Amino acid sequence: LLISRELEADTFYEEVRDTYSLLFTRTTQSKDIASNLFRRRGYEARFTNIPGRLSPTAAVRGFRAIEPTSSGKLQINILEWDRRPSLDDFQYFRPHIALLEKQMMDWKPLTIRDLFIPGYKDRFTWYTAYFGLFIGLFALFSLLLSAAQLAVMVIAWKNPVAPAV
Amino acid sequence: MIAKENQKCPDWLDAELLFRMNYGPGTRKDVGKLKVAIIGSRSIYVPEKRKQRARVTLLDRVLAQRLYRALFPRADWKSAFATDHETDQTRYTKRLSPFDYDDSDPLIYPILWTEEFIVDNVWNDHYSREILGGNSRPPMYAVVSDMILLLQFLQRNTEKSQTVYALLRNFARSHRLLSLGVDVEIDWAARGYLSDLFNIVTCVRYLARNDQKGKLKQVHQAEILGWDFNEKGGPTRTWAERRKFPGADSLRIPRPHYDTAASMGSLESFDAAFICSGPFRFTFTTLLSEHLTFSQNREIRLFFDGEYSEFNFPGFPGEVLKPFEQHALGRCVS
Repeated sequence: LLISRELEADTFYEEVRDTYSLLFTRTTQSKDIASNLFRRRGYEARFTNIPGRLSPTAAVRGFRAIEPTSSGKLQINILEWDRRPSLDDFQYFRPHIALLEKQMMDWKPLTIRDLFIPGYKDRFTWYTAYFGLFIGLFALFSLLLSAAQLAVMVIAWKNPVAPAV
Repeated sequence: MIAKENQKCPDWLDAELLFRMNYGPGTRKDVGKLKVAIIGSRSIYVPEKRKQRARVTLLDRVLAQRLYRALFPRADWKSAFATDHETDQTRYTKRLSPFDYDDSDPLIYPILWTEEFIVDNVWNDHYSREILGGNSRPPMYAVVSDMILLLQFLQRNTEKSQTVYALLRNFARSHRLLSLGVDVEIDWAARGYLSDLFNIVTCVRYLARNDQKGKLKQVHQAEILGWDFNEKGGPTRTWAERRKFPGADSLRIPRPHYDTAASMGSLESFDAAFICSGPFRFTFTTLLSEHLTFSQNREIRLFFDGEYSEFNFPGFPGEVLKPFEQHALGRCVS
């Protein structure tokens, strides 16, 4: 096998393929997200597990194949990610991924609505804050309930009802 | 071929004129006729215009075929160029006439780019005047021959990584180029005219694609460097002075300037479920350069252009780099 890669165009395909594998094949929820994403464009996503390293040609060609299915939808192959995910797996898109991760971690809520969305960094603090908020709301609700109860009692005390004979 | 009644023959469709423009000497009036021929049908990225553009063939078929074979040695050039020089009439049974380009074949694009580059730039008074000559300009044959020479030079110089500019300077020094004038300034030729030729022979324009509405995104459209106003050079280095060959760097897909050394290296959290549990979502992009970047709507863009592919049966995630499989500088498996 002689591979001449003066322009290394195939590197892009391999890394784009690996991006899809990395993002969408490691958990069931991720696979569902991929399926929904492609379904909206009229495609059916299939997750393929091929043990061992693929030859570059087979990997690129296998990944690129779109096959028609019995449902009439075109089916695309996403190869399962089979190793520990690391930045070292990417050469060209390494800065993209690293920057993306940094931007994700640096995200901060800008609007009141954003306050209800968990960020990516230090989720424990977000959950703790929301737990505290829940306890606070519960205490406030109890206080309001107690106040209402007191008000009802005062009204009842001021307007006694004669016992029925 | 039967012409429709009262159909006017276009000005460019004149054997004498085309011979002059291909092999010289032509006149300004001749150049004007060719400009009119390609104007309005320029965008090969819009299907209707592409059909119209593919019917204008300015390069001599033999010359176009030579360029095609040099660029894509593994492609089926015989079906792309069924010319009237051939004796095998069975090839003409295809829908393609022997006088048109096949608009469904993306490998034909560099030929169209070459024609447009020569008419729009090489024969323009404000383009590389010091390099190509003030009073006369090279014919198409000279430019195409130099492009083929450049391609062969690139194929031979793949061991040492160097900037495109340095490489082109060596090329100009070591070759006698038909399109260059006498005693030209090599540095300017390498920064301008030859960089523009490099753009065409490496086919980076494939990476300029349509968006969903059919509007061409010019993000990676190679800018023309050989205009005279670029001669003095600016404070910023051009892509030719920054990008290196060989390697994917010369495809000029932008990369963010971000130091990955600070990154932890592990990508455990780079998972769709985790990402979608926060503020960001996923969307598709038809531009490879936008892969793994943020859109304005808190979406992470992923490259997928299958349905906008030029090919009848689209591939995943797209076919934008497919022509490079056949390219002389692309992937070669034997």
